[in-house]
Amino acid sequence: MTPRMRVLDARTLLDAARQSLATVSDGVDASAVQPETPLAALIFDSLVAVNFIATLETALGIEDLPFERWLSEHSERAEALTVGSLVDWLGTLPEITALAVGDGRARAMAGSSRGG
Amino acid sequence: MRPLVVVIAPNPFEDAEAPAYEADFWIRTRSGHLASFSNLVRLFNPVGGSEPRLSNPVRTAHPLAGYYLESFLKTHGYDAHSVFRLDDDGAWAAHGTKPLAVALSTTFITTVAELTRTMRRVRSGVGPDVPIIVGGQFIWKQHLFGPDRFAGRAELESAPELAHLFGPWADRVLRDAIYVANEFGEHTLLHVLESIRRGDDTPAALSDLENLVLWTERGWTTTRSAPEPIDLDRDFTRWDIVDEMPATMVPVRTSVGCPHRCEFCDFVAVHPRLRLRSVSSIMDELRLISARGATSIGFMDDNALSSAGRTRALARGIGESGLGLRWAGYLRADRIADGDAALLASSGLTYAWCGIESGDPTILRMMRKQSVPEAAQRGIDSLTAAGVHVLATFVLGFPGETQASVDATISFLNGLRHDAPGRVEYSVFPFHLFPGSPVDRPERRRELGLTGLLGDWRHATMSAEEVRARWAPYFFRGVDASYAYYGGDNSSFWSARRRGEAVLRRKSITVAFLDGARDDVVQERFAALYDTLRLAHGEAPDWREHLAPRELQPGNRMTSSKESSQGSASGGR
Repeated sequence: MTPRMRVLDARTLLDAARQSLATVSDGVDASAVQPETPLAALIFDSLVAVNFIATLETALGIEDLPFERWLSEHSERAEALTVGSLVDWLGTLPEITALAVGDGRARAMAGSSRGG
Repeated sequence: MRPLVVVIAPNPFEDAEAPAYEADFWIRTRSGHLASFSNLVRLFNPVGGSEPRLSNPVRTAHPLAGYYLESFLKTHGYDAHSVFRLDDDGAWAAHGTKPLAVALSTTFITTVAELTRTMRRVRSGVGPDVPIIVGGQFIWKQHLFGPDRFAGRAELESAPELAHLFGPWADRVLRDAIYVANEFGEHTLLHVLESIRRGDDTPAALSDLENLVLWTERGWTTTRSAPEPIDLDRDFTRWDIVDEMPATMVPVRTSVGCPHRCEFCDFVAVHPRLRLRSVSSIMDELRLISARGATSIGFMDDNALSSAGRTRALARGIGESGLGLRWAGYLRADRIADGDAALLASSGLTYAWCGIESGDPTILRMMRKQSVPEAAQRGIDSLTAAGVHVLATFVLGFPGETQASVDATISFLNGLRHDAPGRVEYSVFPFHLFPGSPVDRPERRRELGLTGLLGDWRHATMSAEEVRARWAPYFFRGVDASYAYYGGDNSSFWSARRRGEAVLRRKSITVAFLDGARDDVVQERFAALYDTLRLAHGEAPDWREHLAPRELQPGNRMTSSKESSQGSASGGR
């Protein structure tokens, strides 16, 4: 993975995460969502979290993100997980890396949703 | 052009002032929302510069009937538009077309007073000359039990809010409607609409139709009764054609009626026959839901998972569908066998709603619940161990209830595992003496020394007033599980330890309000909760910055038994 691709991927993933969080968190402006924003402040409720992952999967064009496994790996401090840590974790997933290196579909999808 | 029918399916519980038993123990935020952990986390950890937007997800749930009727009408030659919020400015101007009629569902309406308020708002919104057709559970029960059932009850004479709908004293706005009195009613609705289309909407013209109650110059007139051609496998919500999808949990009906005969429940009279949908029909509906992008569903009837075999078949169907849906449903915790919990959890079951009723074996026998506490306890523990969140509900004050049986129920709850991945919440309903329930039979009343009706009763060991004034607070103080019906309390982000700490700290604030504790005590307890819910370090503000004043907090809003609803024994459970 080249450094250039990694930077592009992280930005794309952050945009997709912001947009998805704003979509499922009533009244939250996507621009207010920063890497240091705690995820629990936006998607504390279990069902809202499920809705967020489904929205993010649609935005990224992938399925079955192992979000709950990631949460369980941080079970004692999961409430302190941030948007930035989510993006970092997404960047480590093989299916995300494959998309980023491949046809750039993730960038295109996340970019197309920015206007909303 | 298809004629337009506006379907109204209100949720009066959305109004924070609507009386509710459990409201006695709710902490409210300064904005009037319930102090769920979800709302408090938002308040304590704002994102961006705007005011955090809070919600009461349980109390803002939209009744399934609205979606179902909209899709039913659309598949039967009508255009339909659902309205769930009566104060929605756009509700009445939808499509810019004058509707042929309004169809009002009463699933969540439980008193004549609430129906009157709703009818006034609907009439004001839709104008004076659009027919309003009212149906649903409340109308069916009012018809079934009739004014005679309520007449001559000395204990109800001082409670005009419990007046029967079809009595001579009915408000003018109530007389100005066509009532569909049937266990189902949607096919009768079609006949009424056809009549209105022909211009025959007077009581005289409608009197030839079946299953109606109409106000005429002779008073209330009931037309002849006839069964409707119901087929649950065919008549389900076509989610692909409804305008709006629910925000989170999509409601699904899998059955009508109940195989059990619990003494406190009126289902035996309201739905005497058990009807079950086939699993393949349910799966057809789930595919429509998934195609609309929804991620979670709730089986809203009491018997989605009433038998072990059906539970397993449904779980396998959902799990093997590949739809990835999360789901919730009522189930019998005492019927959970080895391996069931893991199967249910892996199929996406997130919330199990379990009517336990009591932790005392004698009370369970008297209720004819056909359950023992140990089996229910094992079932709940296996569900939470598998990661399923459980809402356990109880009835307080059934004939025979004593301090010993209340203590047994408290011990039942406190004895459940609280360190499992799944969480336990509880909710308590005061016993309600429903017309038509087995315990309402004259011989059973005599046997139990039971007098009264609805929320105003007395028996040998307890009275409704004692339950509210003494035993409900006693129960609340004794239980260390999370008090449910806040909604939004369950989070994927919490460890069992952190969740348990938050539950106890919110409870300690509730107790401080109940006790009328000094401000410094409330502040100390608020600071402890703030510390648990704050996601970054920070000094706790004054409690009044986030919570409503004392007059809106527990201990200051005790509801009167006279305000109790005439709702279903199973409603909300």
